[in-house]
Amino acid sequence: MGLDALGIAGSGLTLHRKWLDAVADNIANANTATATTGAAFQARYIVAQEGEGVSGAYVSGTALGDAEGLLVHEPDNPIADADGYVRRPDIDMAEQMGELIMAQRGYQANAAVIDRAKTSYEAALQIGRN
Amino acid sequence: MTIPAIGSAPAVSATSYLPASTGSTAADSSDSGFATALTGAVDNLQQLQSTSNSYAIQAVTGDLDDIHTATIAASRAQVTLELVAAVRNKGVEAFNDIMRMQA
Repeated sequence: MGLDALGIAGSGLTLHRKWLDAVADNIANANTATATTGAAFQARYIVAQEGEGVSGAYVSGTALGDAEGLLVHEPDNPIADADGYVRRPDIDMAEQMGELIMAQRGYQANAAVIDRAKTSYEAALQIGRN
Repeated sequence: MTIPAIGSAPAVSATSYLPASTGSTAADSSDSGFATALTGAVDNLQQLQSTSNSYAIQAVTGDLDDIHTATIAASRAQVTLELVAAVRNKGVEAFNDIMRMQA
Protein backbone atom coordinates (compact mmCIF):
# COMPACT_ATOMS: atom_id res chain seq x y z
CA MET A 1 0.00 0.00 0.00
CA GLY A 2 1.15 3.46 -0.79
CA LEU A 3 1.85 6.06 1.87
CA ASP A 4 3.45 3.35 3.96
CA ALA A 5 5.41 5.64 6.27
CA LEU A 6 2.03 6.36 7.86
CA GLY A 7 1.38 2.66 8.47
CA ILE A 8 4.88 1.96 9.78
CA ALA A 9 4.81 4.92 12.16
CA GLY A 10 1.31 3.81 13.19
CA SER A 11 2.65 0.41 14.24
CA GLY A 12 5.31 2.21 16.29
CA LEU A 13 2.64 4.33 17.93
CA THR A 14 0.63 1.23 18.85
CA LEU A 15 3.72 -0.44 20.30
CA HIS A 16 4.63 2.55 22.45
CA ARG A 17 1.01 2.95 23.56
CA LYS A 18 1.06 -0.64 24.81
CA TRP A 19 4.38 0.02 26.54
CA LEU A 20 2.82 3.05 28.24
CA ASP A 21 -0.11 0.86 29.31
CA ALA A 22 2.26 -1.73 30.79
CA VAL A 23 4.26 0.90 32.69
CA ALA A 24 1.04 2.51 33.93
CA ASP A 25 -0.14 -0.85 35.27
CA ASN A 26 3.22 -1.48 36.96
CA ILE A 27 3.29 1.93 38.63
CA ALA A 28 -0.35 1.65 39.68
CA ASN A 29 0.39 -1.66 41.39
CA ALA A 30 3.81 -0.76 42.76
CA ASN A 31 2.37 -0.67 46.30
CA THR A 32 -0.11 -3.53 45.97
CA ALA A 33 0.58 -5.86 48.88
CA THR A 34 -0.64 -9.46 48.77
CA ALA A 35 -0.83 -12.26 51.28
CA THR A 36 2.25 -14.45 51.59
CA THR A 37 0.20 -17.50 50.58
CA GLY A 38 -0.23 -16.13 47.06
CA ALA A 39 2.08 -14.64 44.45
CA ALA A 40 3.13 -11.01 44.52
CA PHE A 41 1.94 -8.64 41.81
CA GLN A 42 4.12 -9.36 38.78
CA ALA A 43 5.44 -6.45 36.74
CA ARG A 44 4.41 -6.68 33.08
CA TYR A 45 6.90 -6.12 30.28
CA ILE A 46 5.98 -6.08 26.60
CA VAL A 47 8.03 -8.03 24.07
CA ALA A 48 8.63 -6.01 20.91
CA GLN A 49 9.29 -7.62 17.55
CA GLU A 50 10.13 -6.16 14.17
CA GLY A 51 7.58 -6.65 11.43
CA GLU A 52 8.23 -8.75 8.33
CA GLY A 53 10.14 -6.82 5.69
CA VAL A 54 9.71 -3.09 6.18
CA SER A 55 6.44 -3.05 8.07
CA GLY A 56 7.20 -1.54 11.47
CA ALA A 57 7.26 -3.00 14.96
CA TYR A 58 4.76 -5.12 16.82
CA VAL A 59 4.16 -6.52 20.29
CA SER A 60 4.63 -10.28 20.14
CA GLY A 61 3.65 -10.90 23.77
CA THR A 62 4.25 -9.92 27.35
CA ALA A 63 6.70 -11.15 29.97
CA LEU A 64 5.98 -11.15 33.69
CA GLY A 65 8.33 -10.11 36.45
CA ASP A 66 9.21 -11.87 39.67
CA ALA A 67 6.25 -13.59 41.41
CA GLU A 68 8.27 -13.97 44.62
CA GLY A 69 8.22 -10.25 45.34
CA LEU A 70 9.64 -8.88 48.57
CA LEU A 71 8.62 -10.14 51.99
CA VAL A 72 7.95 -7.11 54.15
CA HIS A 73 7.22 -7.10 57.86
CA GLU A 74 3.89 -5.30 58.35
CA PRO A 75 2.16 -6.77 61.39
CA ASP A 76 -0.62 -4.14 61.26
CA ASN A 77 -1.63 -5.11 57.73
CA PRO A 78 -4.90 -7.10 57.85
CA ILE A 79 -3.62 -9.56 55.24
CA ALA A 80 -0.33 -10.21 57.07
CA ASP A 81 0.42 -13.84 57.94
CA ALA A 82 1.01 -15.20 61.45
CA ASP A 83 4.59 -13.86 61.50
CA GLY A 84 3.42 -10.42 60.30
CA TYR A 85 4.71 -10.59 56.74
CA VAL A 86 3.09 -9.53 53.43
CA ARG A 87 4.35 -9.73 49.85
CA ARG A 88 5.11 -6.53 48.01
CA PRO A 89 5.87 -6.45 44.28
CA ASP A 90 9.53 -6.25 43.27
CA ILE A 91 9.06 -3.11 41.17
CA ASP A 92 11.73 -0.43 41.03
CA MET A 93 9.92 2.89 40.74
CA ALA A 94 12.95 4.67 39.26
CA GLU A 95 13.25 2.01 36.56
CA GLN A 96 9.55 2.34 35.75
CA MET A 97 9.83 6.12 35.51
CA GLY A 98 12.74 5.69 33.10
CA GLU A 99 10.70 3.32 30.97
CA LEU A 100 7.78 5.75 31.10
CA ILE A 101 9.95 8.51 29.63
CA MET A 102 11.31 6.17 26.94
CA ALA A 103 7.80 5.07 25.96
CA GLN A 104 6.57 8.66 25.85
CA ARG A 105 9.50 9.87 23.76
CA GLY A 106 9.13 6.93 21.40
CA TYR A 107 5.44 7.69 20.96
CA GLN A 108 6.22 11.35 20.26
CA ALA A 109 8.93 10.39 17.76
CA ASN A 110 6.51 8.20 15.80
CA ALA A 111 3.89 10.94 15.84
CA ALA A 112 6.53 13.33 14.46
CA VAL A 113 7.27 10.84 11.65
CA ILE A 114 3.59 10.85 10.67
CA ASP A 115 3.53 14.64 10.66
CA ARG A 116 6.66 14.89 8.51
CA ALA A 117 5.45 12.18 6.11
CA LYS A 118 2.15 13.98 5.58
CA THR A 119 3.94 17.30 5.01
CA SER A 120 6.26 15.58 2.52
CA TYR A 121 3.38 14.04 0.55
CA GLU A 122 1.66 17.42 0.42
CA ALA A 123 4.91 18.99 -0.82
CA ALA A 124 5.05 16.36 -3.58
CA LEU A 125 1.58 17.43 -4.73
CA GLN A 126 2.79 20.99 -5.05
CA ILE A 127 5.44 20.02 -7.62
CA GLY A 128 4.63 21.60 -10.96
CA ARG A 129 1.90 23.90 -9.68
CA ASN A 130 2.40 27.28 -11.34
CA MET B 1 27.42 36.60 -68.20
CA THR B 2 24.88 33.80 -67.90
CA ILE B 3 22.83 32.97 -64.87
CA PRO B 4 22.26 29.22 -64.27
CA ALA B 5 18.70 28.06 -63.90
CA ILE B 6 17.51 27.21 -60.43
CA GLY B 7 17.44 23.47 -59.94
CA SER B 8 14.76 21.61 -58.07
CA ALA B 9 15.07 21.54 -54.30
CA PRO B 10 16.59 18.40 -52.83
CA ALA B 11 14.15 16.04 -51.15
CA VAL B 12 13.63 16.68 -47.44
CA SER B 13 15.01 13.86 -45.34
CA ALA B 14 14.27 13.16 -41.73
CA THR B 15 16.73 14.52 -39.20
CA SER B 16 17.86 12.56 -36.20
CA TYR B 17 15.93 14.93 -33.99
CA LEU B 18 12.59 14.39 -35.62
CA PRO B 19 12.18 10.87 -36.94
CA ALA B 20 10.10 10.50 -40.06
CA SER B 21 6.44 10.02 -39.49
CA THR B 22 5.32 6.45 -40.03
CA GLY B 23 1.61 7.03 -39.88
CA SER B 24 -0.69 7.27 -36.90
CA THR B 25 -0.02 4.82 -34.12
CA ALA B 26 -1.88 6.74 -31.43
CA ALA B 27 -5.59 6.58 -30.64
CA ASP B 28 -5.84 3.07 -29.31
CA SER B 29 -9.36 1.85 -29.87
CA SER B 30 -9.56 0.33 -26.35
CA ASP B 31 -11.25 2.10 -23.42
CA SER B 32 -9.65 5.29 -22.23
CA GLY B 33 -6.85 4.38 -19.80
CA PHE B 34 -7.20 7.67 -17.97
CA ALA B 35 -10.89 7.16 -17.23
CA THR B 36 -10.25 3.66 -15.89
CA ALA B 37 -7.34 4.82 -13.72
CA LEU B 38 -9.32 7.77 -12.36
CA THR B 39 -12.33 5.60 -11.55
CA GLY B 40 -10.09 3.14 -9.72
CA ALA B 41 -8.47 5.94 -7.76
CA VAL B 42 -11.85 7.38 -6.77
CA ASP B 43 -13.03 3.93 -5.63
CA ASN B 44 -9.88 3.55 -3.54
CA LEU B 45 -10.40 7.01 -2.08
CA GLN B 46 -13.99 6.17 -1.17
CA GLN B 47 -12.78 3.05 0.63
CA LEU B 48 -10.24 5.09 2.65
CA GLN B 49 -12.84 7.67 3.55
CA SER B 50 -15.34 5.10 4.76
CA THR B 51 -12.59 3.46 6.86
CA SER B 52 -11.76 6.86 8.31
CA ASN B 53 -15.44 7.49 9.03
CA SER B 54 -15.94 4.22 10.86
CA TYR B 55 -12.83 4.91 12.98
CA ALA B 56 -14.19 8.36 13.78
CA ILE B 57 -17.46 6.80 14.95
CA GLN B 58 -15.55 4.28 17.07
CA ALA B 59 -13.53 7.13 18.60
CA VAL B 60 -16.71 9.00 19.53
CA THR B 61 -18.46 5.94 20.97
CA GLY B 62 -15.39 4.95 22.97
CA ASP B 63 -14.80 1.67 21.11
CA LEU B 64 -11.37 2.74 19.84
CA ASP B 65 -8.22 1.57 21.64
CA ASP B 66 -5.78 3.69 19.70
CA ILE B 67 -6.61 7.29 18.95
CA HIS B 68 -3.86 7.39 16.36
CA THR B 69 -5.51 4.78 14.11
CA ALA B 70 -8.36 7.26 13.56
CA THR B 71 -6.11 10.25 12.96
CA ILE B 72 -3.79 8.26 10.66
CA ALA B 73 -6.75 7.00 8.64
CA ALA B 74 -8.02 10.58 8.35
CA SER B 75 -4.57 11.81 7.22
CA ARG B 76 -4.30 8.99 4.69
CA ALA B 77 -7.74 9.80 3.28
CA GLN B 78 -6.93 13.51 3.15
CA VAL B 79 -3.62 13.10 1.30
CA THR B 80 -5.21 10.64 -1.12
CA LEU B 81 -8.07 13.05 -1.77
CA GLU B 82 -5.59 15.80 -2.54
CA LEU B 83 -3.72 13.46 -4.92
CA VAL B 84 -6.86 12.35 -6.76
CA ALA B 85 -8.08 15.95 -7.00
CA ALA B 86 -4.70 17.05 -8.39
CA VAL B 87 -4.77 14.31 -11.04
CA ARG B 88 -8.38 15.12 -11.98
CA ASN B 89 -7.59 18.85 -12.25
CA LYS B 90 -4.62 18.13 -14.51
CA GLY B 91 -6.82 15.94 -16.71
CA VAL B 92 -9.55 18.55 -17.03
CA GLU B 93 -6.93 21.21 -17.70
CA ALA B 94 -5.44 19.13 -20.51
CA PHE B 95 -8.91 18.54 -21.99
CA ASN B 96 -9.68 22.25 -21.92
CA ASP B 97 -6.34 23.07 -23.55
CA ILE B 98 -7.18 20.71 -26.38
CA MET B 99 -10.69 22.14 -26.77
CA ARG B 100 -9.24 25.64 -27.03
CA MET B 101 -6.97 24.65 -29.93
CA GLN B 102 -7.75 26.30 -33.25
CA ALA B 103 -6.61 25.33 -36.68
